[in-house]
Amino acid sequence: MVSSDSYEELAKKLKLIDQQNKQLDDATKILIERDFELRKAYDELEKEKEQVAAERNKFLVALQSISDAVIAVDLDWNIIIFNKAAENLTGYAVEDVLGKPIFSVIKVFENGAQVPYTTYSPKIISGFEGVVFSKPILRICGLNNKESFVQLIAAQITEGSSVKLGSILTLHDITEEQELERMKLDFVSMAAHELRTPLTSIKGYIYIFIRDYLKFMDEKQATILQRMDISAQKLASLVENLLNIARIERGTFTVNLQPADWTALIKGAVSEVMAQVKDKGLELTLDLPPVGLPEVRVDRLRINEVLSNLLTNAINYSVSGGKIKVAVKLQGDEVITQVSDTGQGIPQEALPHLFTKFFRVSGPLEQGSKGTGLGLYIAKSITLMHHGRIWVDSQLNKGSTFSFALPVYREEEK
Amino acid sequence: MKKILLIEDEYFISDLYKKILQDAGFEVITAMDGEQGLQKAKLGPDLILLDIMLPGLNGLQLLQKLKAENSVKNIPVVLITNLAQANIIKEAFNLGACGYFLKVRLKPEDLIEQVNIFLTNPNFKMDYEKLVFD
Repeated sequence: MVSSDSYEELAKKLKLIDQQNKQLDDATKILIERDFELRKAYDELEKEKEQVAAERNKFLVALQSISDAVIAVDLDWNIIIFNKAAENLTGYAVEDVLGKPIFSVIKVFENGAQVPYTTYSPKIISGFEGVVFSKPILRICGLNNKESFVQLIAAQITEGSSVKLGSILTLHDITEEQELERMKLDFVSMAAHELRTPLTSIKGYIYIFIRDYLKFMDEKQATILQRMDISAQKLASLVENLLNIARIERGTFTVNLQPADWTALIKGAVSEVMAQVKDKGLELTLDLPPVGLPEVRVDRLRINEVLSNLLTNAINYSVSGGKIKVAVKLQGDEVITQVSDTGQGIPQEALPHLFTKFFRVSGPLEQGSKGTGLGLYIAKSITLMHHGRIWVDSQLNKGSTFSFALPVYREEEK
Repeated sequence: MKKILLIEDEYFISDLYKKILQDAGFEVITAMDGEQGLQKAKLGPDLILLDIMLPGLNGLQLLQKLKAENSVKNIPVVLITNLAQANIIKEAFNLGACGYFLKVRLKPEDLIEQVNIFLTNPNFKMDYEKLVFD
């Protein structure tokens, strides 16, 4: 016999079982859902893995097929990426350099001096992303001192230290351009040298002709001879300008600064152009300070090129009746020399480019266009080598004033 | 009368310098190439003006031979050329040249002035470090 109490007990227990069953059902449902989610996540992960592999492949193929050499190093400067172009550039095979320090594989030079690897591939700066080093012309030596000229850019990424990536170096091979540039400069030097020989004869014989025969000539004959002399001088300075450009580009252009009597130098340069001034019907005035100037140190030959360039420009861009003024003054600790003309002037938009190599105010066929576009570039280079500066003020149809300042020489600079 | 040996293969330039020097009162002997120059150096000039680009023996090779020959090694040699490369200038002074001039920049009146400097003081040597041609 079962007591009513036990029934109640039983019913309670059954209810509990029922409840537990329900809970179990819920849990199973949740588990099935979770399972589904996990499978989904797994599928997604697989897909992503595939995508990463594809990205990596894409990156590797791109890396292998680009023409610039790419070398990446880890935080200890050991090579971790070395593409096909890097192999060609350095002569090394990728398997021989992976894991090796970059400095044992390439040597980098700038103007003959070795560039330390910590300079072209600097230590990683945390949080910085972008270019950390860039040079347009460097020489590198690879396997068996295989030499090339490159443009080198080093970059780093923000995540660099966490993924152990130091710098990524991109090296653009410019060896051929450099070789062409050198050939061009050699040709200019050679051609200019060959031109010097006949010029020496022409100038020398005109000198003798003037010295010995001018006194027997009438005015017309004398003018002809003087024009020959002027033209020979012009030709000589053109040749020297070409040589100067070759020297500046090569980096062999130097100055030998010596104390000089500045007013005497100015007078000398002016006297050299007086024949041209008179021939063109111009008027030239000299405005020199009445008392002695402080000492300036110049390379006579070079600074004379600046003076004669500015004077010749003033003459070339003036018409008959024009006035040229050469003024020298002391201002602060600089001696300022100015050459002004009342010529055609220079358009405002051309002023900023005036001292740039090969720049010309107008096209070769336009009126008033003269010269090679080298004179002012050379004048600027020479002035800078004298620790000076050069500038221009000009108004169209009113005239131009070219000025250059040379620092006053101080005893303590010795 | 001081005697100058001019070794220069370009006839126009040789004749030009000869005339300028003669007009200034010097006796001038000329040679058109290196071998001839070596022979004529034995005539005992007071100064030798030497070009570099010469047929056969070039100016620097000739300079070396002149300095190796006892009878002529004390004659001052001044190079007159249109070559302006720093290494050539340095080489010339190492071989014993006492002066170096760029023809195209040497005015005739300067030539006479310079020649007189070397003749007055045969031991005078230009400071090649201070020459700026190239």
